[in-house]
Amino acid sequence: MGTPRPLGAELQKGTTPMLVLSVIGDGELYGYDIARRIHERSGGAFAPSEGSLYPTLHRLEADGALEATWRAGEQGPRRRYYRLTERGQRLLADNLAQWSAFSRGIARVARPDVSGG
Amino acid sequence: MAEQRTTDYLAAVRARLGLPEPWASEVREEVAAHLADAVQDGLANGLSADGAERAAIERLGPPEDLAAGLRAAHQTPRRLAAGIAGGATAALGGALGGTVIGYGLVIAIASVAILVGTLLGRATGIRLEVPGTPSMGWTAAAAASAVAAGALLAARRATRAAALRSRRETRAIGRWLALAGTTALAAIVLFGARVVLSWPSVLAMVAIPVAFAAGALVATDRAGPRIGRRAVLVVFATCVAVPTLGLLALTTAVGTQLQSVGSGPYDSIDALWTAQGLDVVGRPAPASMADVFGDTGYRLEGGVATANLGIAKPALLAGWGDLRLEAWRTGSTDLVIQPGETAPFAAAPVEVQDGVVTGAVRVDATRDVEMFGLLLTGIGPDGVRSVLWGPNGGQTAFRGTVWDWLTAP
Repeated sequence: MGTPRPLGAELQKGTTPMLVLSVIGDGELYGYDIARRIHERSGGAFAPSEGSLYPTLHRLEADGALEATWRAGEQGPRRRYYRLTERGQRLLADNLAQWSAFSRGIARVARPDVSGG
Repeated sequence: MAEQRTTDYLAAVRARLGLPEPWASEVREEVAAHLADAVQDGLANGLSADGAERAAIERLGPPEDLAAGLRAAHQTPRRLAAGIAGGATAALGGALGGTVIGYGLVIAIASVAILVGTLLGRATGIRLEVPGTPSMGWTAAAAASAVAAGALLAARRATRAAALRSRRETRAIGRWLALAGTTALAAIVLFGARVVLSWPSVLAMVAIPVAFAAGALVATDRAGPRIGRRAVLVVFATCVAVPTLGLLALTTAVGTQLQSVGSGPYDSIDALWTAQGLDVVGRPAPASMADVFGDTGYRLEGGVATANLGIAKPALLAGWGDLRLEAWRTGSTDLVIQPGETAPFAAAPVEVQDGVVTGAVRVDATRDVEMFGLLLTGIGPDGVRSVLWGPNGGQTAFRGTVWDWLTAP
């Protein structure tokens, strides 16, 4: 028996692509900025593993959901900016719909008194 | 010290990425920018430079895990399929372009050699000849050399295209391609392709899989010079047109020299017999045997020389035994058996049936035979082998696979 992982980490593992697509939906962002925005917008609830962030970005790019371009920043090194493609927008919409249905289902099971059936 | 830790981390990630350029460099640059941002944040939050760097690296995790995740993200099955398709297309284009370039180079080199040889011959009076190998063997050697150039370029372009599209390391792709392609080509060259062979063409044939391996393995990380279609056409036209025009100008002189070969005065039949080298085969048949055969002839089909000799006077053959058809190596432009030949390169007993002597020998399975002389010999009543018919013959060449050549007698 190993030490059980926190629930948040398990959830994050499967939801990182959706979180990434969500924040990039606001506009072009680079890797570090994406991680920071997820952390900020979740109120600190999610701190995606930075080690899994880049494989996720590159996988989404390979799948055609993201496009990347190199651009020099105002300060510091040049950075790789990601933006959603049409395919990425459809994928985000699908993911959000699935997540919404999933979370409603969880709520009905876990707290039937609140969800009201 | 602090910067060294980042440098080491980035080097460790890159070393484990297994991606070709430019992707490997891009990933390194992206991770480096991330670490720089993370360090800046750490410093802004009051960490020391060392602590900020340590924290930034720890958040990215072990370099091998990051590299493995990135490698898996890049090397998708779809990209592997694209790499295979792109490699095959590039191989086809490289093979065609390389073969055209190879032919141009071969023609240019051969033309220059012939021109220089001809000019030297005219200046010195010495007739220079290509060392003893069938001219058809040189043709096959030229073709195989051009194909070897095509194999080299095909392997190189396939390796680079497949690596780029599949996002796999060029060296790794090159190793697999060299193993598979060289094995397949070696099998085709050794056992599959039946062509006219001589030592030059055998070496050129063997060079095909070797060139493919070299193309897949040597310096594939570096981009070669870009060769456009126009450049290929210009080089090919120059390599063919200029030497051809030069050769045309010298055709008359070459033709005159060739016509003088093989002529000579002989003051007796014995002198001719010796001059033809037939003294090493046996004695001339007795004069009484002159009319033993009526209609005679031979044909050469598929490398097999078949003689059909109609017997006009069967009684003359009484007492003769061990009749056999013999094929002897002769000079390159005539039917003179060369000094030093001690035995036929092919021989077979004949059949005597219905008044016809029939025999067949294969003349395209012995190395370095350019012209063959076909003879019917037999042992006469006096116990001595004599030549009853011949020499007749013509041009031939070894035809077979490289394996046939290497294992030929």
